[in-house]
Amino acid sequence: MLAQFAVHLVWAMAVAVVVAYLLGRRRTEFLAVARWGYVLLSVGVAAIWLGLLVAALTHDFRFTYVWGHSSRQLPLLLLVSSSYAGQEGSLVLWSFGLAVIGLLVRTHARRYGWEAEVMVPFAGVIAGMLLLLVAKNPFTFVWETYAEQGIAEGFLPADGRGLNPLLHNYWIAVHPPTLFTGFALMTVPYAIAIAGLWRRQYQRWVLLALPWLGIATAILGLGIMLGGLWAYETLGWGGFWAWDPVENSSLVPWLFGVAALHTLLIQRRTGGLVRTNVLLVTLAFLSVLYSTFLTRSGVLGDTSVHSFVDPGFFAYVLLLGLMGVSVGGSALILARRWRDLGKGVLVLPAHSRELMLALGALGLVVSAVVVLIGTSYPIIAELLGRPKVAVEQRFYNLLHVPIGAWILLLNGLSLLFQWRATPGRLFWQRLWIPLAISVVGAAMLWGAGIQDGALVGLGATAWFVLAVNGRILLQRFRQRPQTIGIWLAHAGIALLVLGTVCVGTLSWTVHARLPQNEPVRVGAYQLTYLGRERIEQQYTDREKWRYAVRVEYDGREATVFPVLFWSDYNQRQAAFLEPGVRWRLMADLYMAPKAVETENGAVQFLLRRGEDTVLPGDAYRVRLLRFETGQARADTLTLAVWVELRSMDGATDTLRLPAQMLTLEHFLPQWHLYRDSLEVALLRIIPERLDIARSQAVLGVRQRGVREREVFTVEFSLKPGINLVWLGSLLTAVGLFWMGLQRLRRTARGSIRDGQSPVVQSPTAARAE
Amino acid sequence: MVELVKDYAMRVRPRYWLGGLVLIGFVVLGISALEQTSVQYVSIAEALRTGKRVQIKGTWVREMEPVYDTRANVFRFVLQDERGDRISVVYAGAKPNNFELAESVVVRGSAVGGEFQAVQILTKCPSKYEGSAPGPQ
Repeated sequence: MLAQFAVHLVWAMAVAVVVAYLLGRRRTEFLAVARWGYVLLSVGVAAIWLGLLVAALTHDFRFTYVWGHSSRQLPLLLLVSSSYAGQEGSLVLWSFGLAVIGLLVRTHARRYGWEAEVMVPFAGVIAGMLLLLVAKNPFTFVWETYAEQGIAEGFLPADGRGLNPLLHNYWIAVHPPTLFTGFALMTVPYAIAIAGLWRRQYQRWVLLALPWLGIATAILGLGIMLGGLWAYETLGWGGFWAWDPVENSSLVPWLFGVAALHTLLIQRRTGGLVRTNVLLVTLAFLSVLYSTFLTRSGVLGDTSVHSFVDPGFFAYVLLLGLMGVSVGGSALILARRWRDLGKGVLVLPAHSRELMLALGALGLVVSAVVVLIGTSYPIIAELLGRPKVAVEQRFYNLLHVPIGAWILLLNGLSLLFQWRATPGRLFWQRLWIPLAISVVGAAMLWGAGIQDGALVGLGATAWFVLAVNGRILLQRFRQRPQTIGIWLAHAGIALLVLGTVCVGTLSWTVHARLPQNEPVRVGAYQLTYLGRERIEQQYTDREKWRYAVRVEYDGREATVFPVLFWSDYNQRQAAFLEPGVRWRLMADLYMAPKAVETENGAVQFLLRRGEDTVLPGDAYRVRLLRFETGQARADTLTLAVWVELRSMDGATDTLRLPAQMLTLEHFLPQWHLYRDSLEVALLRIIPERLDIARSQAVLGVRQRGVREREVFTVEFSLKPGINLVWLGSLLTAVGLFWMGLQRLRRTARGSIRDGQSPVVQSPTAARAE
Repeated sequence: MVELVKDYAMRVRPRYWLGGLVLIGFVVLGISALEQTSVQYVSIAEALRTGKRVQIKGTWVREMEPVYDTRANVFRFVLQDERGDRISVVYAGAKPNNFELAESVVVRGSAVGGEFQAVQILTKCPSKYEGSAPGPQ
């Protein structure tokens, strides 16, 4: 009760801080109150998270959240992670991230006397998040959640339901916190933009926002990439990106953010694009909210592989309301300043870096809009009253080949051009080496087997970017190594695209059935299923098996270990499957488990009632006489068929072949020894849906003494270039972060003009300021 | 050199038309891609009638055993849509993870000769992951 009330209290504190900062704009005594209030607010938010953490660590299953997301058997790391693995918990973590970031932003903004204007929208966002927590309180008790079950107050369940086995790995510890920090950071440039409009300082905000935008895109990008790694390495989706709504909706803010990063640079140099910049930074923030709405309201439930829950009507309306307030507030202040903002004249000379940057940023915006429309298409269609519809993955792939090529091409060009104007000779002089490299690179891709003109073209632009940025990178590295961030990030994107092209076209997948200890050859690889081993036996809530498969190729060998995981979480009804991956520099070996069967060494026959067939060896005919539906005992059901065996010399025998049905799929056959040489059994029954009398029996016949063996069915693939994807995304994140940090340090020194590149303003833009 | 730079700056005007042209190109491309790749959710009756690529949302019928034939790498099950119609679904691939637990299933593909040939199966298991599962007692 106390804890629930604390959430309300902290929310009230957030509202009070907003009001205090609002008043503090005019009167300094309120500013002092606001500052202390914000510190208290941060402590409060931290306390909520700590409270949830302690509840998880001490197994306080009175709380529905803790009961629903953890259990006594969870190890420490997963217990900690369970504090943010669910909806409410992730909102808590997000708010906590916001509160901490706010402390840093506040210090930064105070240097420029912008504190109040920045902190009003920022604390407003925190208040919004906390309002969601008030609606979906993480400290709700089980007897409140399940009131209709008449649970006594104070009831402490013996154990929790546990954490989804899909989340049982170290990725849960790193991916969500990174992603939520990225989401939280996107609030900063937005708050600074609003402050800039408020203060009518349409140029200055750009300098304050740039470093934060760099850091935000770095962390968000890293979070997205970690999600891809998770999907690839443990979830066994086979790839790292599936254009799923959840993935998409985290990508859209990143794309808007990166577009804004480039257009902010234009404004810093030329003073133009003022409206565009405010708009883009706002969109980056709003798309974070929209993403939250899409992924938590359940509106896209049918079109995603992620699981959604209906958060309840109140939270749904609240999310819509929060979005409405942000959109409305931003639109209002934008509208009031719109004409003011347009006073700067944008000059984009033909042979200039600013034009190339603007066109490139246009590509990024197009990409963001494409992903946004694709993801929202089911909703858009529904709002338009059209039949329910969704786009296929092909939609995104199709469009992103030309969009990607456009963005990369302009990135390369923008760096060959200079600001304002570029002498033609200089441009051509700079162009030919990268051009040559991209032609050679494209030829290499073609030679490697990518026989798709469009993709080779995309690859060529990636080589172009690599060449242009690589050259600057080397130069800079010798002269001013602290400034290499941006070029590192560009090179990273180029590597990411090259890797994606390679994985998308050069990887191959084969389906293989692997009987134990019997080598199976697929292409140049020989696979041998060696056996399985029970792991993690210290836990009683699961049965986890590690399958060992030896892979031999080119005289080398490696062993991969796919895992099958039965958990109490779903009453062990079905296994959770984890792939076995052998990391290699050029191409990973990737093995996703599909099925495990016991093969009985028998020949199988499908027979309907009255049908007959000749057994191998031509010695007997077998006819299915009838089905006998069974006696259920305990939880097993015994079924049987009656068959007639007729030898070629005319002698006939009638046999009853029983089998225990364990599950629909799993039968336990009883082998019947016939005439000391054959073994016959009923293996399965395939029911006929329309006419149950026409069901089929699967019979097995084998020679006496044949041993049973296990067959492990897998999907084996080779993933060339996958490491370029990881390396590229990592470089991008590191580069962006480094750039952001450098700019932050420079602007934090107090001089808003960052040393090497003073603001160049056109006379008209200066007037607007 | 200075003259050259000035000359460039004088001759150039905003190149909005260039951006506009590119934008129009992408819009046209986008709309055609949307037309090509959007797939409607329909009922089984509708899927059988048109034979086009569609998606069907429904539940898999538990009395009919889903079969994954590991030799042929084909997965078969029976789908029932919201109207209660049933169709046999054939999917060239393994049984999706967690299929047994799925509360609802979305299949994408087309109906050919009375059966549905799926290219993708999405399984939804909401109650197992969040909220609406049975209470603690």
